[in-house]
Amino acid sequence: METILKATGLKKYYGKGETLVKALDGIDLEIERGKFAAIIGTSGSGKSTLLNMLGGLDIPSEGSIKVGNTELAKLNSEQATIFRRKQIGFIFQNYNLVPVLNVWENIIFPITLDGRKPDKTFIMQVVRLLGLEKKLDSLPNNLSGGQQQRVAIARALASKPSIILADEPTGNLDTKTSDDVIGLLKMTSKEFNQTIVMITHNSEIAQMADRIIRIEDGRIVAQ
Amino acid sequence: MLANNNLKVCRTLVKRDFKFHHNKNCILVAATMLVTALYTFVFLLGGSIKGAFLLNYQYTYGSTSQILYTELTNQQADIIIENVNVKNTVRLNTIGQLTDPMMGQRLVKLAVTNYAYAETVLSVPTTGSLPKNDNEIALDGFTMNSLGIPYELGTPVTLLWTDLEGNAYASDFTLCGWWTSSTIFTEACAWIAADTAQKLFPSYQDKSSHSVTLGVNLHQPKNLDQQAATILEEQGITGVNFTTNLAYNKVRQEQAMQKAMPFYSLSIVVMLCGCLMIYCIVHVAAQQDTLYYAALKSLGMTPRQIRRLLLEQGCAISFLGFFPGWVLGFGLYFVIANRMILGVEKNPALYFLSWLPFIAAALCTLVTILLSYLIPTIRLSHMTPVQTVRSATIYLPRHRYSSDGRITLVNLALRTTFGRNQWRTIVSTLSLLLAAVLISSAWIQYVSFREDMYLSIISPWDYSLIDGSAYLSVQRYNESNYGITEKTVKELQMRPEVIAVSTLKSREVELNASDELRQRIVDYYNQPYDETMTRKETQAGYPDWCAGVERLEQSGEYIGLVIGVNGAYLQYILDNCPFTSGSFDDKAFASGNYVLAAGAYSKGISTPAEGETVELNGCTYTILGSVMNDEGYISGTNSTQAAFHIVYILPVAQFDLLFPEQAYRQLAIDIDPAQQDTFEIYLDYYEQEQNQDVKIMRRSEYATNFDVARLNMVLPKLIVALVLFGIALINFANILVIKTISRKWEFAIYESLGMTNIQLRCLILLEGIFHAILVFVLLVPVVIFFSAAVMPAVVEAIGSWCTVYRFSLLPLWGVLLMILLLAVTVPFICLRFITKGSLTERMRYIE
Repeated sequence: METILKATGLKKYYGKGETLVKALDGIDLEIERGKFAAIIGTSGSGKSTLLNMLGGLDIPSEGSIKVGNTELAKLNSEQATIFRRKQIGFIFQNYNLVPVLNVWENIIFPITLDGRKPDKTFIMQVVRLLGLEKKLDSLPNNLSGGQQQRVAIARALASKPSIILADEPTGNLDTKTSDDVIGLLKMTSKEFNQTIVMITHNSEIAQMADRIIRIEDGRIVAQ
Repeated sequence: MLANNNLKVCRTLVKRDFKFHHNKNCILVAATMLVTALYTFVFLLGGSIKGAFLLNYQYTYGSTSQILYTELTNQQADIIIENVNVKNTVRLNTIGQLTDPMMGQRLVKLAVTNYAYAETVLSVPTTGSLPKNDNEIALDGFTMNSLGIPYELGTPVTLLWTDLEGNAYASDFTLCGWWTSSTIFTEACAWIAADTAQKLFPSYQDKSSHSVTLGVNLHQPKNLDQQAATILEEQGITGVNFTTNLAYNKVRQEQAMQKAMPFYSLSIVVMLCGCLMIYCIVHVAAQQDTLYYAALKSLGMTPRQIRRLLLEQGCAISFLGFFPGWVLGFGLYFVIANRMILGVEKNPALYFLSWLPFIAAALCTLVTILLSYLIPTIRLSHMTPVQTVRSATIYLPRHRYSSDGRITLVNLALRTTFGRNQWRTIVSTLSLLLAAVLISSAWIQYVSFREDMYLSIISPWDYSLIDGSAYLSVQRYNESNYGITEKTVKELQMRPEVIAVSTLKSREVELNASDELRQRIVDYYNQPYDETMTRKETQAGYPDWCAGVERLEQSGEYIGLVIGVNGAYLQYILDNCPFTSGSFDDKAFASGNYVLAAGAYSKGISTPAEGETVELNGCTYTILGSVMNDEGYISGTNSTQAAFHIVYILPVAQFDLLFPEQAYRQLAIDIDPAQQDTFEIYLDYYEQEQNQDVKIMRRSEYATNFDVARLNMVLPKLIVALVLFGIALINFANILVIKTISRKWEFAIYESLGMTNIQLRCLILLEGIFHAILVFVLLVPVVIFFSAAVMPAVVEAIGSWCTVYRFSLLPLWGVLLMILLLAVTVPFICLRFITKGSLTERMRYIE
């Protein structure tokens, strides 16, 4: 099977000397196209750092990351951003909704940045599934935490990226909505042959993944 | 694949940012408005100062025309007008020149009325009108004063004049109008009607008569001398004289630009401070902005789009600030220009108004704003989203903990003040520092100008009443005038406000020097002045003076200027004219047998010496002493024959015995300061209603003028400093607001853990005081050092004789007070807003 994500010797260190923190300490990881992988680990184990590195949101101290045939380190800042915008969808733990844009504008924002026309039929399908159809004109500040989470998920799915990186996507959702969201992610991953890498604390949700990767102290201890 | 950036989305985000972040953007627009206002103000003022200097040169030149061709025939004038480079012309027909000896050094043309030409030489009557009828004449005020002509329309006037062929006449006219010329005008016209001119000098319109002066304006007013010559050459005219306007002279233009440079250079200060302050407001003071941009970057906004977003934000802020900035800047300029630029008949603020400063101000503001956005733009576009988030994270330095682990409010406040946002505090303090230094600089310059020093030299007494013929230094005092009469003196002495009236009379008399005196004076002026020339040779530029000395040398004849003085005038002489022989004896001087002889203001005796005698109008006087004559107390000038003279000073009572019919040249009046207002009302009435041929100089006017000039000197810098201080305070307040509001969650935590409202207020109060102290520590030493160490040199560099450096920290105390007030009150006001709502709501708050 084709490898879509490949990390080799990935390290991320902060500080130096006594204050040196090894957030990632030599990660080797390969994820195949169309797979659904869950990353689990204790708080501070390096899960979010790994996700940021895989998505090109941060630069590793050492090691390389390859997305498809593209080596992220070889792209300049501008190219890396455009590549990420087209290929990767993010679901952030703190949602990262743009406060000055309403729900619809937030969902299509990455597509707008890219200068493309949004696939309205598909996006409305996602919106309905996430129960956001009555909230499209609302501003993020007027939404509950769960609603904001769903907007962030809709935004990640809207551009039909080949990879979705999700940091605790169901953290603020009730059980039923969580199941629906994971179902949606799995469905779209199948339909569009998308790869999903998800951080979660919920072992039940993790069990729904094709593969579980456990991280401790910046290292993969089991997969 | 790696292209296709949508830049339109940036505009949408900018619009939304303005919609949702009113406060931040209002502060930014306000700061931009102030920056635009400052640029507009300094550029408009600089342009006006330059314009005023050029206008001054035009006044000195005597015409607003660019080229004056003189002594043309009418035919030559017609040919010049046809040249393609000529834009417009004004024409003057002169029949001759006034030659009354009382005219002094002034040259007045007798010319045919021409309104257009009169306008270009600023000689349009303000009372009465230009002549229309036969024998009517319109004159300027100085000519009338010199000739003793009363200010009454219809007054018969007899004038001595010489026609273009050199024939002298005495002609009778009727006064039909007058105007007040600028004091620097040395040339003027006396207007008569064309019929009168035809009657007086019929040949002035002959083809061969060179009676025409042609004022020419060009399409391209550059290289005037060259163009003037080229026009003559192209039109085939030779032997014609021309002069070009000083205002268009390259050197004069450069001089005018130099005068305006101090004002233009203020724009550099505006740019530096404006950049710093707007930079502070834009990004340093708004932590949440960084998180906002981090989110945008993580969603796929490229560095190019980030740059575009910030660029558009900067442009939007600039454009919104332009119009109110222009209005405010123009308002400031309107008020200040009217104070600073004097001597322009029309409103100087409007007279020199141009659209260019507004455009320049807008461009400079745009550059300033974009420079302010430059650093954040570069910083943001080079960071990854995670780095951007990390840059917004506050890292507290390690603190010493008390042994039992307890923490007090003071400790907590100290950590918040000194442990967080040091960079923001330093940058905001830097902007406050710049403003404080500028204000201190302007203030110290202001207080270093000493009014008492200035007045003691310029106006030793409260008021001077001067005969109208002796008001200007170029006017010859007319000894026949009776402007200031005995009645006036008595009336003044009777006034309850008056403490003393001192009088001065003068009379030129023909005298003969003894051989000894003649030789002494000749030897005196033949002494070396320096290694290159004698004293006499230094006066080579004054032919009338040289002729007087030669006359003395050859015949012993010279002009004696007999001056009768008393009171303040005598005291002035004793205080300011050092004795070269003898000394002053009050009783001897008052006895009427003695006089003081006054000569050149240089060491050595250039007059009769102590014990010698002089015969004045048949009476013999002994010289009490000789002095170096400081003639600063005498108004006007004397006849050309008296260019070289020896002064004999005696009491007025004795002068009156010698010349009983002689009127007063000038009076010095001292009054009770408490009654100044009523005395000024009396003088106004005296000046306006009764005696236009008597000029009044008031110490209060000098004091007012000094105050105005002193304020004007520092005003542009002070205004810039105050506005920059305003921006710095906005920035400082913004930091305090952000610092408090961004801690909504933190305060909620404190409260949830049991901190009472009073404790919270105490914490905020302590933080405010500590923040103010931190600013003080950075501000005070620098401002004191600048005021004590740098300002003496700055004051010295002004190079004025009435400045003495004075140390003052008054502005600093004002600045510190404002800072303390803001540091204490702003967080308190913010606290009221952020402690609204339940604790649960506030603890859930995430920006």
